[in-house]
Amino acid sequence: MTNNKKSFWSWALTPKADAHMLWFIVGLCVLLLLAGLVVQTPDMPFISDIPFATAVSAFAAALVAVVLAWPLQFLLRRRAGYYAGDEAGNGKDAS
Amino acid sequence: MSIEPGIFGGALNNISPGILLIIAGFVSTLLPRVLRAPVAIAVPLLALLHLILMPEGPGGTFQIIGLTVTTLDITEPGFTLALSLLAAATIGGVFNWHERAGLPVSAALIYAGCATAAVLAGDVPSFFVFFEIASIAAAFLVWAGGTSRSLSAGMRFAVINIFSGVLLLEAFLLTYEETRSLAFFHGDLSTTAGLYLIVALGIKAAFPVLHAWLTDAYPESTPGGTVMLSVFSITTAVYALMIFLPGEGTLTVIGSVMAAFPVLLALLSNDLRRTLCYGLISQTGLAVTAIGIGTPLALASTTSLLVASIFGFLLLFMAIGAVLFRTGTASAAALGGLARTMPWTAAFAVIGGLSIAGLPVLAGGHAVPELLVAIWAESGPYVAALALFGVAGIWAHAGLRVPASAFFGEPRKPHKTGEAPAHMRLAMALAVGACLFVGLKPHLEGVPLDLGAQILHMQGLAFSLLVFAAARAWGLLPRDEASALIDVDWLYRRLGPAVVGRVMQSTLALYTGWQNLISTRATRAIAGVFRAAGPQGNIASTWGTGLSVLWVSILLVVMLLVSYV
Repeated sequence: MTNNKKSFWSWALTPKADAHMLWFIVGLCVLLLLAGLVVQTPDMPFISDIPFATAVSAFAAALVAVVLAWPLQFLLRRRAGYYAGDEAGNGKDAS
Repeated sequence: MSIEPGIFGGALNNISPGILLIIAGFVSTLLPRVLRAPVAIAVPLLALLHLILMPEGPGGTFQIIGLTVTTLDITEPGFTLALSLLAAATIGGVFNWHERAGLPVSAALIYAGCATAAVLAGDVPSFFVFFEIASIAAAFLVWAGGTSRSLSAGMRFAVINIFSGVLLLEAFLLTYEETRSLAFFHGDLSTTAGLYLIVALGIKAAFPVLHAWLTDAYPESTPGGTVMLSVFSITTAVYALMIFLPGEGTLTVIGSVMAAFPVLLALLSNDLRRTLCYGLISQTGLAVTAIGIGTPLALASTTSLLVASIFGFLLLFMAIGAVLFRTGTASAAALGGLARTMPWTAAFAVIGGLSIAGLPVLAGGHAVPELLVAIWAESGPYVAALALFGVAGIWAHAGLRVPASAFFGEPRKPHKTGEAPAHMRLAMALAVGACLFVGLKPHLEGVPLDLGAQILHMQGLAFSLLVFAAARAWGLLPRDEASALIDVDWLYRRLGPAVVGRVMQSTLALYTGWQNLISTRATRAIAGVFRAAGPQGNIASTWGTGLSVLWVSILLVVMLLVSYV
């Protein structure tokens, strides 16, 4: 399976597959937005009142997480072996 | 629940299924090595059958120091959770088939048995005893990692859990003093007992700031040990919150923060098992939020979510455990591209991620949207927003980042490895079966599909997936690199020892200075006295005859003058 160039995984691990997947996700988002317009949502405050509330909130939440991850990595990441007292980073830990 | 009056004429009806596992755990250390793995599978399976055959209601009562203790009470949520825990223990036993050492097998059986007995306990003392022994067994499971890191992490785990156990005991004793009853009670946060209770259960359930023991200790066990650890403690702790603090508004706030805050830490953590631990905390946060809401729908959703969480995370921890078993590392910086060599494991990890995210048909497919509807309907916009952030985050790191870092992309380091061993694949396949069963069960029972809620949930997942997939494709996510992550445990692993070290240094310097000062002064004083009164001093030294005569003459003259005057 590993060396078979026609196998699914050989295709799935290529950058071309990544690009296809991105377009697939965009298509899925559009489909779900359309489905949300067609199917009535349960009666819930905020979520039912605002159009595409869940989609926009989830998009915003994910964006916030991605943006915040950048400054936080400098604040919260230390070299491997930090807790073992190995400041040079020669520790084998994966923490 | 009971489909038969009982096996062995009902003789076992008073014995909690968890106790069978505890006994097996102690006995397994005496067994030949080759028998330990079969016992670790067979006994949870037998206990599962025993539970199914048990009659509903209380049992297993006995008298001690004038009190009637009820070790067993089959209730609806307890039964559901115990069934899931025993199924998870069986699957865990299959995953750990390669394990022959006495400690991990024994500790895992006792740990699983105590957690099962705790969710089936009939009163407070039984619950407390089983819950605390589970914590001790879990510490041994961490120590089974066999490294200096696991030894230290296990020690920290034990200290924190024992501390929480003491607080829990205090809460129970204060309540007993007031009510004179051993029955389960609803805690009141305006009392001292209530405060002890929420702090104790907050530690056990990994509330924000009190959570670090979990992410510190769980990843340090063996691959199979972490699989077992991920299931039982946290489920029992959330069950305890359901029993003791349902509808407590504070939990809604704590739970929503708990669902949201681990998201960023999980994205930055390099150890994939630690990333999954953050996902576990996040998912638990959703359950805690629902417990805080406390409506029947919210509490029922909590039980469903716990069951979904058990099998979803079991599957993910097993997939990463299999990677660790094969490659020797769970570091994201050293993995990647393993789908070529471990396609089955990769597929299982993806299914686990989808199950946790709440994809229809899988374990979370019914529970997560139902829980979100309960949260959205009953709580304010901030809680709803944090819960949504948590769900998107769990999906992002446990569902996407973990499989993506381990199995997809370019390999960061070459690993000449094969697929996971057959028993691990079988265990993962069983977990997939369990996820499917849990996901399909409501539909098979005729529970109508809430299509609107499902679409809302899927919209949330798809749009967060879009952001993370785009960020990953365009290189906007922080790079996976071998690193340690600063969390609350930094306070007692780095800051605490540093402060104690400084204080000890300062104290030592002060003490040395004081000692020097005292000894210098004392030495000088002694020297002065020695000079004055020593053998060479004026008083002790031998005077000349002439000088003595002179002093006697002076004395006589003075006396003469005094007599005369």
